[in-house]
Amino acid sequence: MQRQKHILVVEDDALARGIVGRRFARLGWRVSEATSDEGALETLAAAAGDIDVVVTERMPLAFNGFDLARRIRALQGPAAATPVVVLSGLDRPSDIAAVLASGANGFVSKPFDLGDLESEVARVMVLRDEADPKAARP
Amino acid sequence: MNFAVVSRVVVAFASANLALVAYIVLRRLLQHPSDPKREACRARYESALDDLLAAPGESEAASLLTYDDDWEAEELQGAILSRADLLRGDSLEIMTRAFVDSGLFEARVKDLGHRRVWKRRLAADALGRCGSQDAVRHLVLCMRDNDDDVRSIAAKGLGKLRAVSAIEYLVSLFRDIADRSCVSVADTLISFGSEALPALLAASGDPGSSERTLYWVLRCLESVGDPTGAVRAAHEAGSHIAPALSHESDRVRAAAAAALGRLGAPSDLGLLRDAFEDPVAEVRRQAAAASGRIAGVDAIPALLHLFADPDFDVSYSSSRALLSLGEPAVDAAQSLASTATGMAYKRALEVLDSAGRTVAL
Repeated sequence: MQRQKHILVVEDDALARGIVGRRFARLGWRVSEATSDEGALETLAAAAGDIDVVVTERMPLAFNGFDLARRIRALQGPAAATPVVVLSGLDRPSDIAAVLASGANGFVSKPFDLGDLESEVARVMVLRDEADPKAARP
Repeated sequence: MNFAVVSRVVVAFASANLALVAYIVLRRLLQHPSDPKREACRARYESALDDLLAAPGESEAASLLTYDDDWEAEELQGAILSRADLLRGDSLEIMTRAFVDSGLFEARVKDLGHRRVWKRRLAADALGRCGSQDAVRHLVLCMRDNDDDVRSIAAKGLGKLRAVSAIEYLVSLFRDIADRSCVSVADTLISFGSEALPALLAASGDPGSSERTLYWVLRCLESVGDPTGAVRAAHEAGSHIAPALSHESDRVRAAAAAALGRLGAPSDLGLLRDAFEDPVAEVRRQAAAASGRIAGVDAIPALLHLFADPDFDVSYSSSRALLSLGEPAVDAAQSLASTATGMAYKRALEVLDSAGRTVAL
């Protein structure tokens, strides 16, 4: 039986969290939600590497850089390699570069199209599987 | 008229008023149901809309987007527009379709002609956020509304809809709308970025443009700048902006110098010659900053000349502009320090100090 993919949506705005979560649930994903960085890290630790991708919306300045991606990379174990896609209203090239430098793997600018988000999630998962074939999941 | 007749009239009048008040209160109660009822209604709509976004091909959710009462329409509109604000592309199109198919679009267009101004404001806001290009022509008509807020909201909506077709019309509005509305129109034009440049440049060089149009158009040009570098590469700005540099209005000349500084080519430095000698300090200050930006080291002689300007801000702006030009400019300041006196000498020393050079006094 094929393993159900698992997405963690980190977003303090219930509206955006709901839209993204429902779209991926409809696609057959298991969806977990968090409203803060701490909540996201707890969920990741508890899932012990079972989460395939994190989608997070963060304003860089308010959180001292794209802190969540950095903190995920500092985790112990397989969770540290979880791909992160950042949704952000700041989309200047320098903003995107800052997102990627923080350890995030993908970027989607807001306002966003759910199809674009889906494609970006698929892209970062392919990149992860190519970088670490052992992490690839059926 | 006896007392009995008068009292009957008074009682009848009071009863009629009481009945009217009771009717209004009852109507409001019926139209504004309790919070739990509204919340349940909102949740139903939100769930249907999220289902539509999750699986656009399934039409069952769309059939739930109907309403019988005004308050239900309000809830549905709020749910659609809050999602439309977050989305773009195909996802936004789904929300736009929900807004149109549910009849809300038509209802808001009708509201634009409502005698109550708050209805018109809310309608303009909704149409600007709904994502439908069909809203553009209605919002353009709103720009003739006699209420400033309706016009401002409509201008913002046109920007949100990326209504490129409305750019020329928006530019023409500067001619005859109040200054307060000019700010909204300018913000909208600036939000179009380089797409607005052709219309703005054309208006800046149009001899028929009014003083107010010129001022606002030049302010927009300064804010937009030349993000792609195409205007500078084509040496396009100088010929359009040059007439405004000698306009009789102080604020137009200052705005023209600032705009040229953002869009001009190095060969446009000569156009600023008169601005360096302008009787108005703000024009000279803008010209100093502009010359450094567009001409690089070629602007050094003009900037050194402005060091001696009697106005502190002009002199200070010149030294800042010079400092940004690097080593050749600092060398020039060093030469000046050995011969100049007064303010020019002081500025030259400041430049050398900022550049980390020591000067033997």
